[in-house]
Amino acid sequence: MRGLKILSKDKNLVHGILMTILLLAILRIFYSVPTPGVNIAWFRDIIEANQALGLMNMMTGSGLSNMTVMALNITPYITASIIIQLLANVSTKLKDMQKGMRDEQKKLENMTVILGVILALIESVAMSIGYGRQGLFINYTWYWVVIAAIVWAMGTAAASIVGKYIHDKYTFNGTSLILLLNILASYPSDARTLFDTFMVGKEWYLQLLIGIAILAVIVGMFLFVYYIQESGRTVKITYSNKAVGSGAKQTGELPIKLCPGGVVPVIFAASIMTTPVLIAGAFTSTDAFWAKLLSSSAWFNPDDWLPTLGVIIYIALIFGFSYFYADMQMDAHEISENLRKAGGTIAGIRPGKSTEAYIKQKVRSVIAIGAAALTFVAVFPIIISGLFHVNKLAFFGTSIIITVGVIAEIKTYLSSKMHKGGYLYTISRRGGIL
Amino acid sequence: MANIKAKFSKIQKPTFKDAVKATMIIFVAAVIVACITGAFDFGVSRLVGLILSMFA
Repeated sequence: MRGLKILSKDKNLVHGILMTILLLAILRIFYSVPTPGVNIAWFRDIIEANQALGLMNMMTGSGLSNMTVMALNITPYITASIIIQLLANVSTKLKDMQKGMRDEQKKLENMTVILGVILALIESVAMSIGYGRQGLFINYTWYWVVIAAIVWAMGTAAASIVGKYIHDKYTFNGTSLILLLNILASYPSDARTLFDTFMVGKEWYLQLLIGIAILAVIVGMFLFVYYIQESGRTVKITYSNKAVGSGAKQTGELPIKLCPGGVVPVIFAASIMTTPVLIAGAFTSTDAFWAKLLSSSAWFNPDDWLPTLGVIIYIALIFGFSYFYADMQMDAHEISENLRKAGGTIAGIRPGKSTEAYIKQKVRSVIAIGAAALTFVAVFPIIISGLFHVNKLAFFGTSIIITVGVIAEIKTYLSSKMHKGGYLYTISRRGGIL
Repeated sequence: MANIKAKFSKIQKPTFKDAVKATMIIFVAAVIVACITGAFDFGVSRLVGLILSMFA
């Protein structure tokens, strides 16, 4: 309570929170506006049958299955920001912009928004032509195709601009907040699915027991995800040219997180698996074995075990992308160079190449544990959804990783504000600094 | 096995008490926001449906 009292005294923060809520609420109104000329019931059947669209539907807050003007939502912007991050590894100009002054960073952010809208336009055209030929539109004419493509791209532009505006003006990560609301909005219907699947038609005491068990599993998954996001290893650094008052050498720590990429490796892996099925689904039927192998909805089906082999590709991709993203985020060469310039050394390791190799080896061993944990969170709901035929829950693990990540980030931000506010609050109650 | 155990023991984790406390805050916040967002979406979709039916 004292924390809330301290936060409520920070007028800028309260204004920022209220404005962020208002902007997100205005944006959410568009989630209920249907795309003109579209046969929504037909597309819902397609989504039910083709779970390759499940991840995208989850990330768009069911905007895709409801065929609203926010059908593509923030997803092309997320893809664009991942592409820019990857390109920054190859292009020195982009890397300089990423690490440059605020103006340079703003330029890069604007480039990401523009790339997101271009991707949205490409996806919109492909979707409206591909699915349009199969019955997406009530009347399939060029006129409706153009309208749908423009409307969906505009939806992405609106979501990206609101996300960026919130970030620029009110410090919160607007894109993460939009994604969080998209995911949380589907929780009530997910709860309903769980109730219908596991509890309907049973005695009250069985319903109670099953309900408690489901809640325990969900809270347990939240706890597990929190653990993997907050755990890691630290490497001790000693600075030879910096001495503290007593003459002792200053020390520091190099943190290595279990999952530095958060949910990104899972999204990458799922996207790589679903894209071929998605493209094929827009032009032809997806009953082929290869399509089942790549569709998580076909795995762990007790009636047909063979497609479950696809999970091996999925796990390999999660591990591969975890290492790849960790290498990107923690460039061992750059870290060892920075340490050398700052006069920092790792005990028992020579500066330069040896330090670089040591950091690389430490990062790799930590990431192996992180990737295994990430795989468990991503695959466990797929096993449950396959065994009990509840396709809707296949990406529940991914949604928990995003939910925990974003809320933990907000919690840390508010805590830092609270501590700063608490310090000033105490001073003001004592009658000021003097 | 001993190698894996040794690797795990070097991982720094939050204490169980801190993790449970933080998880409960995150879980309750997620449930509250999910309920508010769900109710908001439901209300708005009804309103938009009503407005669109007036033009149909």
